[in-house]
Amino acid sequence: MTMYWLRPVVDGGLGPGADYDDTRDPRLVGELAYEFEDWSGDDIVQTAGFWLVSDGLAQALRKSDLTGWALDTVRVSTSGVFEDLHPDGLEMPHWHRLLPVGSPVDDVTLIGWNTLCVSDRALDLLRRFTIEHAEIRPVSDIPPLPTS
Amino acid sequence: MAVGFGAGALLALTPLGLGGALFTTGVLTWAMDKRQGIATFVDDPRAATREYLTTTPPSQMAADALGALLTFVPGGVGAGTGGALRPALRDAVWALRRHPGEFLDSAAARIRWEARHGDDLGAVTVVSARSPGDPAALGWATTKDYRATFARANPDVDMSTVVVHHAVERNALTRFPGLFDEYELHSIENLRGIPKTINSEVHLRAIRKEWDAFAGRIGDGRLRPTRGDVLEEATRIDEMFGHLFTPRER
Repeated sequence: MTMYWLRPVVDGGLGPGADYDDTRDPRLVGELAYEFEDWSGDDIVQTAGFWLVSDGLAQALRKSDLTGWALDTVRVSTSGVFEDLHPDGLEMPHWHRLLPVGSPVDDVTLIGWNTLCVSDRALDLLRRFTIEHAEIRPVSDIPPLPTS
Repeated sequence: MAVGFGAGALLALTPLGLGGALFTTGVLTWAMDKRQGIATFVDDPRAATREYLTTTPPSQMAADALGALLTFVPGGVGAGTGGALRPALRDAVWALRRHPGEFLDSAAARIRWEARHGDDLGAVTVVSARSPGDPAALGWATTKDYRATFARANPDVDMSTVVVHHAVERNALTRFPGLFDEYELHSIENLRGIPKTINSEVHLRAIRKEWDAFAGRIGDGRLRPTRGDVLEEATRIDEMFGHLFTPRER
């Protein structure tokens, strides 16, 4: 199984009300809040440490035999920049939080806290959706984790 | 009275202390209440004074004097009890302690704004404490309506042609909790205009990617960045994209 480093597009960031602290474990307490600054049209988006998938992609994951993932809810909002870019509004899909919970033998896994890796099988499924703005690189490109 | 009490309590927690709070609260509250009269006075002081003295009955003058007293006194009482309100006001005071001068400037600007009815975008000029090309910095906004702040500071910019972006992004409030106040991030010093004609979506996406990489590096270390770390990153991003901004940053 070949693994790839997947870096989805950054269409927003942590939204208002997200209880986040890098110095705490867990970093996020409670539900994830994501504020879109724009929507590129991709079915998977991220902000450092967190990933969202569209409802269509979530359904496809549920129907697949891919391993190493879980879904959770996410509170979605849009920013003032979003209103600037889309004064007439922009229809977006319903979003789910994607949690990479797999080990290295699964199709979806995490290296460190922030590096999403997917198998070639998972990538095949993702490519049936829009991932135009995502970066897909070999895992050998992943920089070494900092030593503390 | 409630306004005077609240303002006094807030100001007492700043380095102004009780005396400064008493004086400032009285002036600010009185000015807000009398903004229409002040506007008339600013336009034509002689005529306004003459009109007041010739058309105001003595009973109304007495009521005005009493009103001024009732405004100043609660401000002083509020100032004295500011400590009791400290938990509820902690977030606001966090910033006020660091920018008392700017806070008074912004309050004065707000009064001038209100006095001129608030709907004239050119009435008050927002002056940035930094110049294009300077390192990223923050000021203190008078309003969360950052587009209005940007428009007042840049009256020659057609607001329908730009996306107003925050140099230190708004989600720094949640990503780096406790490091910034919302009013700082909405200050003119932190606002950048990106023309829609240059494919602003693409540039904004690239800027978000840079900030996300920064958040990733911070997360790797499990450390809380300093304000200086974040402003340094904003400066780096200004260096990369500032030539595209309106007004130009680089």
